[in-house]
Amino acid sequence: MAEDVAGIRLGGRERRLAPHEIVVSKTDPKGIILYANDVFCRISLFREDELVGSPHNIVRHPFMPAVVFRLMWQRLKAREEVFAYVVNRCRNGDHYWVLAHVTPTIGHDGRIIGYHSSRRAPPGGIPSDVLALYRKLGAIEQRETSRRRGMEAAWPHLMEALAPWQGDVSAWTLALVARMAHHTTVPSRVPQSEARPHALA
Amino acid sequence: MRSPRWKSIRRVRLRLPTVEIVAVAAVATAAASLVPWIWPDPAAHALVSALAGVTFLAALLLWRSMIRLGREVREMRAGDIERRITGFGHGGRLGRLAADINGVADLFEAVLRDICLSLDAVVRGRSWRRVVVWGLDGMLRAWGAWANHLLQQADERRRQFIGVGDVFEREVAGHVAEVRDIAQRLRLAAQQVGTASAEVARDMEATAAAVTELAASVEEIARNSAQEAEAVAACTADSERASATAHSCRETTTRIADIVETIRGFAEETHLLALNATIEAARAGESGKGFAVVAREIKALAERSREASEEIADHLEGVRRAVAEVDTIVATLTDRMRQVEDSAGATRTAVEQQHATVRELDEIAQRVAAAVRAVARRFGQDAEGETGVARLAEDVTRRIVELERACHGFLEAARCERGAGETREPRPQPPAQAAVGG
Repeated sequence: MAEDVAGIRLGGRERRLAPHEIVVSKTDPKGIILYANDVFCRISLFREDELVGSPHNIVRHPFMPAVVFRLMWQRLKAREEVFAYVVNRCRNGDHYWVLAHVTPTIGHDGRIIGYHSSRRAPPGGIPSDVLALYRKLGAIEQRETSRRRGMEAAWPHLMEALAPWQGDVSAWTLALVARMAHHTTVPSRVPQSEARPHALA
Repeated sequence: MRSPRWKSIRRVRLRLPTVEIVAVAAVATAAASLVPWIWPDPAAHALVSALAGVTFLAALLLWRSMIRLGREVREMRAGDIERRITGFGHGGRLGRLAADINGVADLFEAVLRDICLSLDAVVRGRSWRRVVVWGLDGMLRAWGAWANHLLQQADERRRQFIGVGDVFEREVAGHVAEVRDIAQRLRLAAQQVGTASAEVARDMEATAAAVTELAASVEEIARNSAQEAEAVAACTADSERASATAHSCRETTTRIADIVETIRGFAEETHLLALNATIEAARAGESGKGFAVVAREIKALAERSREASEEIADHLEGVRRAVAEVDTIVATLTDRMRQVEDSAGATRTAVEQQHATVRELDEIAQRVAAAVRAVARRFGQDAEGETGVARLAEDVTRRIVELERACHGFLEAARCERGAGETREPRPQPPAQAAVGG
């Protein structure tokens, strides 16, 4: 499995979601996928029965810094929603960018009984800030010998980047979404071929 | 991971239009099995009949699947928007139908979660949160935009409120600072007044004591001057009596002088008689010799009486002069005593007035001392009561600080600055526990 972090290369190509498409998955509190919608299966090239029952990191792309997921889980366990730019891998090693909205599902007794994630095409492409930050964090994590130490090394850098938003990754992401969406018209069911190219090199 | 070959086979199988194939096969084989005469070969007929049986079974299975799909959809329709239809795959008609139904639910649930969490965030002070409408179509997009419009309005109202709150806080802060400053100065002033009035009270007490002493001494003086006046009056009376005595003495002297003159007259006459007797005795001769001796003796006696009366007259003159002198002295003395008495009376009146004044002064001093002591107690820092002005000023300061804190807390709470992320209302949950149906 080739892991070229700098170029976001696993299998090489980028797949894109149509603007109106929503990738939905539901997991149990441990992150085991309970439901994956057809868009998820189509974009990730996994079959439904492959996804259901697997941990959600089956679609985790090595380009994504582990520390971002750590922050995401931390906030989810604190019952906060999380907006984040995420690049996921496909079954064949391709990747696709999404704007993820992950929310905890809370049961009658007040405990978290699962998580819901809806992901859509990032409006207006991927902000360069996100790419730069993920590259930086990924490089820091790569330098360390273990995943855990890598996360610990990268954590202060992530917090520093999110300092203006008090460590709230959702606030940061939505600010970027607003900025990116400002540069583009909000699409109304445009064909996939007309979707704007993402700001990937 | 399974092999790519297997994967491609599965994908092909999933994409078969199952329903159409089964339906066409069922109709075709059933029709074919119903017309055995077109099958000359019984074996072919049996094959077709068997196929018809298989397709019938397939149709039965499909029917059951339809029933299950219908049940799932009804469950979703009952409000379980988190439910999803699983187990149909994504291929074929049924799979596609299930995926589309799931897709509708996915969209609605995603937008509903987004809207509700936006509300939740804005309520908790995260005013930047909006529904992400990008990529939504049609009415769903309109609903999301409407939610955003409402959130915007709510945020604007909140900002307005915060603006008003800011102004309020600024003004209150200004007033509070002023009042605190005033209270501080009041406290200092009260302390100073307390200290000063305590000093004044001490001084006034000393003054009152001094005045009391003065009153006592003035009283003593008054008493003494009264005694003096009495003494002076007695002296005056005595000197008057002395004057009267001198007067009677002078009269007596005059009378004695008269008597002495009479006696001198008698002596003169006696002398003349003795002279006559001598002459007569001389005439009588020898028989008169004894008589002449007596006459001589009488003459001598008369002479001595005259001398004695002259001496008495001389002495009387001395006595009279002395008495006159005494009289003069006594008169002078009386005059002076009278003057003394007069002045003593004036002095006594003055002393009495002084005494009254001093007593009044004493009372005033006592009253002033008491009043100043009360003032010192009121203002003093060490006032035992809780009514001391210094303590009241401190109380005002403390309360003002509390007021400021209360205002600050109220405004903070109103701005959702504090408590954001601490308290959170649990989101309403559908009755179904499972997030995914099936």
